[in-house]
This record gives sequence, C-alpha cells and structure tokens, in this order.
Amino acid sequence: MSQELISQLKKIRETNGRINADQSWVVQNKARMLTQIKNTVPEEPVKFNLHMVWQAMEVLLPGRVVYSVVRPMAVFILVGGIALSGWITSASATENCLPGEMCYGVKMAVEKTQEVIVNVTGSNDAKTQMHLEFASRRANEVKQVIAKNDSNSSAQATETIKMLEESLQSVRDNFSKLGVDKPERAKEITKEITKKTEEIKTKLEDVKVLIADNMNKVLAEAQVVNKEITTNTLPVLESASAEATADKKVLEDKKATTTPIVISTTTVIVSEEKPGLTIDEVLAKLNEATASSVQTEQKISDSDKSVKEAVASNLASTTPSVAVPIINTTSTTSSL
Amino acid sequence: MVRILNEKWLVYQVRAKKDPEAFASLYDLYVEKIYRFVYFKINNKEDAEDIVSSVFLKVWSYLIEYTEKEIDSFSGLIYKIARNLVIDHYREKGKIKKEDLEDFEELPAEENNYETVATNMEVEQLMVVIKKMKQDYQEVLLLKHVEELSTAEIAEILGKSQVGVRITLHRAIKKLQEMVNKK
Repeated sequence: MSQELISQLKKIRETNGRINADQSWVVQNKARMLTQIKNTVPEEPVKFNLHMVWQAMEVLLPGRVVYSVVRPMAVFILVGGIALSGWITSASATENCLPGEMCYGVKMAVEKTQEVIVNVTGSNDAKTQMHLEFASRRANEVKQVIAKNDSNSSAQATETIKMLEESLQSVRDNFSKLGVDKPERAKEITKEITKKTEEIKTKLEDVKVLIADNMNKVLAEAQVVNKEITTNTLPVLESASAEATADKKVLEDKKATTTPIVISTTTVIVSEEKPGLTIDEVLAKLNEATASSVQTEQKISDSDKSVKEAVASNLASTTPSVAVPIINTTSTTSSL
Repeated sequence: MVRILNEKWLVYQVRAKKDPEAFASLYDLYVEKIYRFVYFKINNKEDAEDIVSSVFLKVWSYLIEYTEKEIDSFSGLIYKIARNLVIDHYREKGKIKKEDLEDFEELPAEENNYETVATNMEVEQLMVVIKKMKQDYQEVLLLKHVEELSTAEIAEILGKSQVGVRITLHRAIKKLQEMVNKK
C-alpha cells in the first residue's frame, strides 16, 4: 500500500499544472538573474590564491576531509620536505668531504644520525653492515688525505685511522652478536664482510706506498736543495761579503778626505759664487768690498766739489749785481 | 556520481572564479526542484516565483562572500535557503488560508487522455492530503519521494541526523496512508 503512495508521490513531478514552474518564467527569470549577477562581478580576473587549491580539492573529497586532514598534512609534508631536501642536499654533497674540510663535520653528523637510527630500529645485521661501510669510507679518506700531502696530512690521517679502528671494532662486536642470535645470517654475510675488509686492506696498502713515495720525494728535494746551496748560494754569499768589506773600506777613506761644508749667513758671496769658503775668507772679501765703496764715495765728493766751484765762478762773472747763495754738498756726500 | 562531481565543479567555478555561466548551469539544475519545494509550501504561483528568484540571488551572494566556508552539499545549501525564505514569507503573510489548501484548479481542457486525467486528479488529491500534515512530514515526503534526494541531503537540509530523517519519513508515510484511507 505504501508503495502505491510512494509511486503516486513520484508522479507529482510529472503533473502539469501549478506544482511545476512555468517554462517561460524560468527563462525570463534566468536572464534577469544573470544581468543582476554580472553587475556584481569585478572586471579584472580573479587572482590565484592558495585557498583555491583547497576549494578545487573539495570537488573530489568532502570538505571536512580537505580542511581537517589534507590541508594539515600538506603543510606538514611541505615543511618536512623543505627541511629534508636541505638535509639530503647537504648529506649528498658531503660524500666526498675529507678530514680538515668544512663539510666533514656535516658528513660525520649524518653518519652519527644514521647510527642512532640503526641502533634503535635496526638488527645486528644492519649494524654490522653500517659499521663496515663506515670503515671503508675511513680507509678511503686516509688514502686521499695522504695523497694530498700537505702540512696537516699526517695529523688528519692519524685521526682518521683511529676512527677506522673503532668502526672495525664495532663490526667485530656486532658480528659476534649476530653469530649468537642468527648464526645462519652470520654465515651469509661473512662473504660480504671478507670482501669489504679486503678492499680496506688494499686501500691501506696503497696508503703505505703513498707514504713511502712522499718520503722519497721529501728526501730527493732535500738533496736538490743541498746541492743548490753548495754550488750556487754559498759563493754568492761569499762574494757579497767581500764586496761589502770593500765598500766599507771605501766609505771609511772618503770620510777622511771630505772637507766640511761651511754654511755662511752672507748669501750672495758664499752660496752662489764661492762655495766652500771659510769664514775668514768671507770676512776678507767683505772688507775689500767696503774699501772700494769708500774710495768711490771719495771720488764722487771730489767731483762734486769741482762742479760747484765752476758753477760759482760762472755766476760771478755773468751777473755781478745778483748774489747767489752757494749750496754746501760736502756734508751730504760724506754722510753716504 | 557524475552529477555530483559536475555540481561540485560548478560550485568551485562560482566560488573561485565568480563565473556567472557556472552559476547559470546550477540554476538550470535546481530551478524546477526549488520551485516545486516552495510552491508546495505556499501554494501561490506569483509568490513562489518571487521567492525562487530571491533564493538564487541569496545563494550567489553566499557563494561569493563566504568563499572560505565549507559547503558539504550545494543541494543542502540551496534548500536551506529556500526553507528559510518560505518561513520569512509565512511571517510576513500570516497564516496560510485554509481555502488555499482545499482549492485546486480545473484540469486543462486539452487533456484528452482519461488515464492521465484520473492520475492527475489522484495526485492533486494526494497533495491536498499532504498539505494537511505536519510541516516536518510534508518536507520529508516532498524531498524524498518527489525530489528524490538522499537521506544524507535531507538530513543536512532539515538539520537532523540521518537516523532521525528515516524515522520521520517512516512516520510520514504511515500518517499519509491513514489519512488517504480515511478519505
């Protein structure tokens, strides 16, 4: 009975009449509505923002899931990814770092982290293999450090060899534990361990050869230097010494013969005309100059006197009635 | 499933890009349903048309303004807005006149198919009976069996749990049966 009712209810939609909308009204209303809506839409296109990403996800997932799960997870992954990519970049870049280089610290930090993780999560098998790998890396580093052959090589190599020994000890300890816990697995990885240790041995043999080479090089260089000193440098030094001695003698001789230079206050006579005159000579010169100037003065006064006398007699002969006073120039001349 | 995805895509276009054409597509999908829903409640063509116009404008404003609010279901949103506007209409207009509930138009003269005529009369009479029921019962019957919405969508529209909707629906059908039998 209720099924009949339900089927009748479903027919309500198909019924013509007032329950269904008038189609002309539907069309007109749509046009009117779009006009009103378009007035509210800005002319410039909508700029992208992050919220659009979440809205787009809502098409496929429920909104609750997007905002409560997906969005926090995406943020977490993004942050973690940035941190991890930085770690990975630095970790892979440090593979070839050697002791003494700045990035070697990062390399050791990465290995320490790895060790901690394996100690917590890994088995003795994993620990054995990890320490074996570390030992191999240390052997490689020793070889490269010795090959560099700089001033710090021996100290760095010593330190690295110490770390190599520690790694090998860890390999031994973990392998013995593995032998107790899982003897079959221990047998399986024995081959692997043997292979790796052979590689390490080869590298250390190479290190020995390198050290011997370096020592021979150093010795050869020392011999070359010694020869150079003996054949070239010493004679040069000796001749230089002899020259120095000769120069010294010359200097001493010059010192003895050199006359002192007299500095006088009388600028004209001493500095320009006669350098090197003594004070007495300068004074003598001054006296001569003074004497000649006195003589000149006398001559001027004598001629002056005779001119005056001539003028006076001339005047007396031409104009007897006029008395001309005679100007006395003698006192004026003598005062010069 | 395809219909739901299409609808969600249109809603995304409206919210993210303020696309009027996407909203026009949503209008085409929902205008008939919303009209039936509103008309069923208020039983007046002109008022129903006004209310339906207002519903779509309000939905557009909501989608544009509240871009960061979650929308679980577009149908839930639009029916809720329609329901609220009908309530507002009731408040403005007062009680529904009893004549409106019993009055029904004459069937169109061009209908020559007697079976269809008989069916239409049955449907009209059924509608009259439904309108005498409680609002809750009317709504669940209309949304479930006329508009064919899912229980989850009806629950969202009415603000109830799905279990509550199923119980209300069961009771509504039972009541309708009693009233039809009495008649």
